[in-house]
Amino acid sequence: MQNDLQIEWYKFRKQRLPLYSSLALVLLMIYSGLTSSDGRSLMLSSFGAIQWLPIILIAVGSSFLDMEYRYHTVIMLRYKSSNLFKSYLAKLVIVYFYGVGLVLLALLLTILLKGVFVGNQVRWFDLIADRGSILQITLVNLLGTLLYLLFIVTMSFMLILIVKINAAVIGISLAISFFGAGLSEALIKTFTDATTILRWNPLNMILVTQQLTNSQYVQISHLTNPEIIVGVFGYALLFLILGYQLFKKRPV
Amino acid sequence: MKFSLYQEFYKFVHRKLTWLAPFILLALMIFTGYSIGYHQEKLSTMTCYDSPDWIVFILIIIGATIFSMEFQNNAILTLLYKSKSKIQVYLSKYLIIFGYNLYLHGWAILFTVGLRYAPLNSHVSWSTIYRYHQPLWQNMLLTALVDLLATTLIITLVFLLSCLIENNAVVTTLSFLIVFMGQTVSASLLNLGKFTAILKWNPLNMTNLTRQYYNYVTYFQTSHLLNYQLVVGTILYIVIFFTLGYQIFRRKRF
Repeated sequence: MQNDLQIEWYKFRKQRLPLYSSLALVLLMIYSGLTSSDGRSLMLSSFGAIQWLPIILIAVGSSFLDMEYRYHTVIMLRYKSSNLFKSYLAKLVIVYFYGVGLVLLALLLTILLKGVFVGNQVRWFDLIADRGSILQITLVNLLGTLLYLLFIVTMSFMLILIVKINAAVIGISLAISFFGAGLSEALIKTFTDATTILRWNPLNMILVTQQLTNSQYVQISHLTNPEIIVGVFGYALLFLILGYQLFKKRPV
Repeated sequence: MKFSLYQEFYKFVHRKLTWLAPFILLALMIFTGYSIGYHQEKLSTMTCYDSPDWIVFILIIIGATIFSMEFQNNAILTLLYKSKSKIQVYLSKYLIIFGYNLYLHGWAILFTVGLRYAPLNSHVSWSTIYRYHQPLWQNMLLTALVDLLATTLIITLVFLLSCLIENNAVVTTLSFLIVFMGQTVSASLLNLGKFTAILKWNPLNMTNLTRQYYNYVTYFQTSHLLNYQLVVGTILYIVIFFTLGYQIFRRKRF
């Protein structure tokens, strides 16, 4: 496992897409700061990072796996590894650690940008009615995003193995990010009798990033906090297993 | 030129995505039918169940892969060697995608005619007077025509970006962001208040064309341009992006 991780880290480091993506995140957060005047919502959503992190991570994750198939190096991966599952897992772990790094970057930038764009209008320790201080809410939101990123990384690997076209995976990820919550809500509203089953649909899981700190979202997702966390972990496991089976079966 | 067109057509027809796309379009249109609601029958028909958004989605994916496919498999050199001039290569790809654009719009209209009789929305006759004091069928056909122009702009932009940037993922992400967020970015630019007369002609504003045609009142505030001005602007930017894209393609070293 140690060897696999080192190999994957080397491959990841030499790519340019992760670097451009971190830059894109910085630019997007600055853009949010410039165009929004609501200081409190900017801080709570980490200057929009909570929305952009899943998109960036899907693009990076699917490109990382697609790279192997595009340059026909998958056969090296299978031949040189003692355990195929370990090499698949190593890729996942590297991309997830990149996600963790992005979350830390987002946190740092939020603190910095808050001083520039929001100034002293809103302070970090201001309390919001029975939700805690702003700092606390922001941190828990980022933690929720970390959880959701596990779901996202496993899903991106599975999607690229199913769809095989990188552009399509990125399109699907953008669609899920922007329309996913609305889609799930529309589905639940249309078939209200089947709510107890439909509320477990994967698109509903995006709400974990907001729900942990804002109990209003429970009305939208129809899932309590423990339930949605179990759902996210469950789907991550499902996508991991499905993705690995596809990876094993796919001809090199 | 004929041979280049035949080559591109052959490559295009032998991809699975080309044949899968109309079914994906149908699924998305049915989904839109359910989300818009039972009583919005007229809007649903006029916009062909929001097919402009879905067609753009499909076209970006196909357009981004059409160039990167050549670059990645190193087939670009053979392509350039075998054709009489570079403009033939570029133009034939462009015409094939434009033809596919027409094809998808045709399917969208056919599906709309079929979906109207489905139980997911209330029945409104074809000759109901709707926007611009025209019957519904005229609205639908004109929206499809206007949308053809808008999607051609997006295709030209995708061609330009894929000649500039080698990385498939970046081109796709940029195109999607321009399509789905272009409206917001342009609106914030125009909200700054200064230089509105010049800024309103920015290319991102042109993505509002189809949406403004079927919902004039809401979108006029955002775009600050009349319908015919948006059309003229779109055509202008198509020409500009096409020329730019071709110049970059010509000078590129493979």
